[in-house]
This record gives sequence, C-alpha cells and structure tokens, in this order.
Amino acid sequence: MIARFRFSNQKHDAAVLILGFALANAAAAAGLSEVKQTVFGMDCAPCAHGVEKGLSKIDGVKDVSVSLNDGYALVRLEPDNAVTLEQIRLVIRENGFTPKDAAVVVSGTLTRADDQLVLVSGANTSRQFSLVASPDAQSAWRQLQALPQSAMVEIEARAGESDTTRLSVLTVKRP
Amino acid sequence: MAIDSLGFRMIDRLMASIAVMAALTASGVRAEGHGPAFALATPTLGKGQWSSDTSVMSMATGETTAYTFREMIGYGIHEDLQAILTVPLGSSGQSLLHAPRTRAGTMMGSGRDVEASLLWRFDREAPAIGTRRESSIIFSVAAPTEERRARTRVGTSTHLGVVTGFASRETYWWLGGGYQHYFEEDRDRLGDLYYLSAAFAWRPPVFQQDYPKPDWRIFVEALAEHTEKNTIEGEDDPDSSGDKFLVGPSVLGLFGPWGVSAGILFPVAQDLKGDGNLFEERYRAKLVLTYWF
Repeated sequence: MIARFRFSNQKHDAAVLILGFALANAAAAAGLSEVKQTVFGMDCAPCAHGVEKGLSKIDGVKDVSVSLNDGYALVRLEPDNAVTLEQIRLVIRENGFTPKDAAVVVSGTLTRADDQLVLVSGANTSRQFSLVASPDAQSAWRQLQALPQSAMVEIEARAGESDTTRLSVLTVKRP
Repeated sequence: MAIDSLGFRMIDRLMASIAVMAALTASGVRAEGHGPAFALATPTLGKGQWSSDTSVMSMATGETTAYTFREMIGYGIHEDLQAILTVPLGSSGQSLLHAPRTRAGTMMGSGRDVEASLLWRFDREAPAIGTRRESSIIFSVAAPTEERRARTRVGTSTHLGVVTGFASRETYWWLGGGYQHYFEEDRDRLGDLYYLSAAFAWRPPVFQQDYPKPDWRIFVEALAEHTEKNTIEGEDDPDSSGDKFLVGPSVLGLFGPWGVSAGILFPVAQDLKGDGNLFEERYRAKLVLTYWF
C-alpha cells in the first residue's frame, strides 16, 4: 500500500509539474505575434530597405516585409518574444518616417479592472493593454465580454497612432 | 550623329570608370543615389545608417575633357542630421587650364577638395502614404588637396546650401541654392560661387511596383551658377568669372540597398567675363554608384 501510495504521489507530482510547465509556457508564449504598422513618408527602395533592416535587428522578430505602395511594415514575431509596439515605432521614426495606426495580433490573459477589459500579455505582467470596442466590430466585443476572467485569448486589434497600450478589438481569433 | 574619336575615348573612359567603381564597391570600399545627380536634395540617412557614393564627373570645354572621381561617405547621426565626408579619388584626362568653377554635384564638394558637411533636415512632414515634404540645410568646410586650381592658389572654403522638396511614389521636386566662399591663400583667392538648383523627377508607372522590385526615376535638372573673379597676387583675374545656366536629364535606379545615378547637363546660356580666354563648357556628365549599409 505504501508503495502504491508513493507511486500515486509521484504521478500526481508529475501531473502538477506538466500542468505548471504548460501554463508557464502559455504565459511566456503570450504577447504580440504580428504587427502591421502603417508608415507615412516612405517613397523609395532605400527607405524600405532601411526600415526592413532596422526592424529585423529587434530581438524576437522572425521576419519583416515592407510595402511602399500600401505604406506598411509587416512584422512577424517569434514565440516568447518581448517585442513592444514602442520598439517597432521607434525604429520607424529613427529611419525618418512617421508611424501611424497599427493592426496587431496579440494574445494574453483577459482580466477585468474597474469595468474595463484588460489583456495581460507576456510573461511580464506589466505589459497590459486596455481593450475597447471598435465601432465596426461589436460582435467581437460581445464575444470577448462573455469570456470568463483569466481566459487566455488571442485577438486582432488596432492601436492608434499615439496609443501603444490601448487596443480597439477587431476579431477574437482564439478564446 | 556619328561618334567622333573624342566620343569613343570618352566612352572608353566612362566604361573604365564604371569598372573601377564596380570593383571598388565589390571590394568593400565604401559608394548620392537618393536624389538628382547634380542638384541639391533633402533626404537624410536613418539614425546609425551609412552610405557610400562613388562618382565620376566629366567636364568638357573648348580645351578638352577632364574627369574627376570623388567618394562620399554619409552617416546618419539621427534621422534628421547627417554627416558627410567627400574626398577626391583622383582625376584623369588633361587638366583644364580654365576649369569651370563648380561643385562636383552640389552635395559632393569641388574639384579636389576634402569636404566635411552636416546636412540637417529641419522641417519634415509626411501627409500620406509614400509622400513626404521636407527642407534641409547643408553646411560644409573644405580643404584643397592641390596647391593651385587652374592658375590660382586655392585655400580652404566654406559652403552653405538650403533646399526644399517634395517626394512621392510618382513625382519629386527639389528647389535649392547655395554659396561657397573661398579664403585667401598667399594673396590668391578663388572667387565665391553662388548657385541655384532645381530638379523634377517622375517615376514611370512600370517602376511603381512595390519593394523590392527595381525602382527607376527620370529627372530633369537645372543649375544656374555665378562665379566671382579670382584674385591672383592681390589682383583680380579678369578671365575668371561668369554666369552659366545648364539643363539636362538624369536617371536614378534603386534596387534594395543599391543605387545608380547618371546624368548630363548642357549649357543653355553662358556669359564668361574677361578677355575671351575662358572656354565655354560643352557639357557636364556624371555617374554615381551608391550603397546603403
């Protein structure tokens, strides 16, 4: 009996460890996964080259593509990255161009604070986004509001030109 | 029009220049391709960015044709402030006894000067995708590497230029002007140079495809220059001042971090002062290879 009990305890400990590892990884994996940053002022190939090169140097960036005609830099990020929207916009400014709105894909833990929805993103809980409804995406907002506290979500949202911590929710990709 | 023997020699020398510059670029030696070949332009490098422009400019007068090679290294101190160093790489062809007083491209210095400049983009606005309106000022100090330029001892100089412009995916324009002042050297002094420049560019629709497709623009450039009299041994040199107005086309091709620019200016009007010993210009041609690091 003692042997079986010990074995059961070991299985229980292993299960706890596995769950804890999964949760930790889930938290670590949360964060920005894609940023499509609108850029004004890029007119030619060296402009795009400079932005592409500068963004590629950010630790955690998987790949970058730049469009001159549509005026954006599309940044895809590695899992477990610590990249922020501020970093991306700083690179664009340092190349002499003007960052405007950005469309982001971000995941994290949904929480509520003072009747506000907040997405806690990344292993570092200080990275938080306050979420607001987008006028043309009310169904996504209702879907988000219906989720329980501490739900892990992945959303597509818009960050305004001067906003890096306030997102207008467009779609809920994964509850 | 048949190409005469002088034309064939010029073609040979230009081809040799292209080969030299290609070799220099490939060897890692560090090559103004963001704008017009001759006129002032506003763009500055991004913060921490480097660029290399390697150029050859030929000037032909009634005497003969001379070629000047120059290298320009640019560094972006920040996105609106750029440091520039231009140095002479040599010259070929016969020396022009009465060499036209000009700059080898308004942003690349004169003749055989070593020139250090700061380009400050003091006004910038991006009103839409692919569109920018901006103004810049350039200040330079230069030191000659030769004792005399034509018949005059040449001293250090300062240069100041200002330019405003517009850039978009379809058209560009820049308007600017500048002034270069030479200091006295042993009772000789080169006369001051004043200039106005204008450039208009069009990117044909076929080259408005997105990055990283090749990007070509066609320019029309204009340059008006006024040179004051040189002073030799404290006396004015009557055969050294004049006014010129030149116009011509250029092209700029960009592919990723590479650029190539080529242009030619023809004098529309020349008013050379003096006793008729100055030779009128026939043309100025320039080729620039650029690389952005």
